Amino acid sequence: MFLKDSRLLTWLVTILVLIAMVLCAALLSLSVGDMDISVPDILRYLRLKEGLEFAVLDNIRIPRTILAFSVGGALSLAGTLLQGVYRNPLVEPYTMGISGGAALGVAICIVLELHFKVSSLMLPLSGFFGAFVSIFLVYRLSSKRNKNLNINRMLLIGVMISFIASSAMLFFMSVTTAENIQSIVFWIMGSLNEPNKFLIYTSLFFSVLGLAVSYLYVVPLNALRLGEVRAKHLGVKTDRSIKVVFITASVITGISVSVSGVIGFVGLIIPHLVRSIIGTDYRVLLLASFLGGGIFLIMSDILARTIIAPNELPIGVITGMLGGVVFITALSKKLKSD
Amino acid sequence: MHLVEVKNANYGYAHAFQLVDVSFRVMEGMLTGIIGPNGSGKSTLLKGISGELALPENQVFLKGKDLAGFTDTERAKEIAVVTQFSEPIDISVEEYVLMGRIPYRKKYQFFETERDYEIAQKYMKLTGIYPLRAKKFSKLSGGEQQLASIAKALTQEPSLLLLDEPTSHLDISHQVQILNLIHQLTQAPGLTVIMVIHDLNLASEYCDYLILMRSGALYRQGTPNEILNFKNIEDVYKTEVLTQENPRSKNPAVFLVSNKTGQARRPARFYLS
Repeated sequence: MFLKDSRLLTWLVTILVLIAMVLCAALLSLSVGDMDISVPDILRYLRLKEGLEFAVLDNIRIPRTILAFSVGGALSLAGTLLQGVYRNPLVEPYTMGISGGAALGVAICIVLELHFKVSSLMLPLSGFFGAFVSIFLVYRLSSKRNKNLNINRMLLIGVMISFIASSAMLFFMSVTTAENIQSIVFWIMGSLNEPNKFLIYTSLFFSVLGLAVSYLYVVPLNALRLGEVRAKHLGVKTDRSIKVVFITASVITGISVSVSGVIGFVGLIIPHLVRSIIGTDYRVLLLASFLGGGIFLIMSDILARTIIAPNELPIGVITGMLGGVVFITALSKKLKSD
Repeated sequence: MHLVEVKNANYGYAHAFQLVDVSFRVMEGMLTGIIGPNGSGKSTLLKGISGELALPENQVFLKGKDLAGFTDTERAKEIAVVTQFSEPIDISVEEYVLMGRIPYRKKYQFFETERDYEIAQKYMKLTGIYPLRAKKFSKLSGGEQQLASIAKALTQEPSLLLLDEPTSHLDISHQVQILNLIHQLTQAPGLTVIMVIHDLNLASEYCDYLILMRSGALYRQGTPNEILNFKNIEDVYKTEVLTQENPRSKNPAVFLVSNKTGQARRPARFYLS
């Protein structure tokens, strides 16, 4: 009945291609490293469940690949959601003060050396706490006075919270020891080197949950493309949709940032690229940008740990450079075709 | 029969502009125009009916029921709105028009139904944009975008269509094309239309009934013949005009008086008071 609609076929093919790309990227990510394992060997070792190769796969590469996929997907999805709600192509999860808050939380934790005194879990916990405080502030400050949510106000407050948080973080850095500064900077640059499997699976769980929740709001998101007022004319509860979408995007960003640090550009560039390829219909855009972000971060991570092996580049460096170049290329191509 | 009744309406913006006891009725199948100077409350009046502004109870009635009691979806099935401009979004005209079916979606409905497509197609044909259906909405001209917006509004299958200055940025050929279409809609499906319009001559030619607003209150209401005389217009707009019968339609036509040719009939300070 719907197959008459040629869009459905296009969407299906797009999603299948992206899933295939995720699988390829994941296999590549499992196979390269200090110890190269060929793809057929990966499957053999995984069946055997013993040996050094299996230990490397099971303890290091599989968790790391899963984390890359879930963080990349979450950040890209959050970017798509926020750009949709704010109808501003420059918004990304970090514009909204979420990463600023998380970074401040982690900086305080490191300065107070809570991660040594209490538990290493304090690092992601304080990151998440910081992210959550800034989400809460943005949300409260922009919706308190008048019952209606003012989108531009929300955006400005997000940017300001971001600035305040980074200034506060600089303050803490200026009063602490050199080692602490180094750990803060290291954290800010972002890393997918997370030994705690529980954190990795938590991150994956919330990324997928975020994707599921956002799919409940595809119709409002599609209507919001017309502008807030015109979406209201179509009977869409814009205020509630914007709130839920904002909170969803914030929570998945907050969790990603607290597990893996500030990995920039994924949430800005992947949504743009995916949108320019498959269009703006959120029914396919949400899943496609989630998968696209996953692919991008898995590939970036492979580069980050192979370029100067056995050392590792900060993943944020790779995503920034790769993302920026890809984006400019795509943009200039688009300008030519217009 | 009247479709809409506005009864002592005094809604508006909190601690800012408010309507002052506006009352009128909108007859079914009629094109009612709201005219008046900038800041007289035309748009505020319209925004209360369209659901953009919070509506107090028992001030606006649709089909005899209090509009304040409608849910957002119920309202969107009865009232469609065409604004002056549209967001130039990058989707095909057909997808754009199909968005008019959003109020009819079931809770977990993911795709449009066959019927949604049929309805969208019907109104694209009626508005004449069917040949453009595969084109990107953002690539259409201003007039075509406005026709597509009307098609989207009709796809909502409303009983009341609200138009907010639908022609103010268009050239005369598109103005006439769009208003002819609106007139035709009041005839054939018997749609009821309320339109905010600045151009008094277009209002005179097309509207069956006029609501003249001044400072948030309703100044006069009646047929164009009753409303559009120089006395009413000068009172409300504080601008000197001449009115004469349109030789073809016999409706009043309004002429402006410039300082280049016109000799003011009264000293200018009269209008400043």
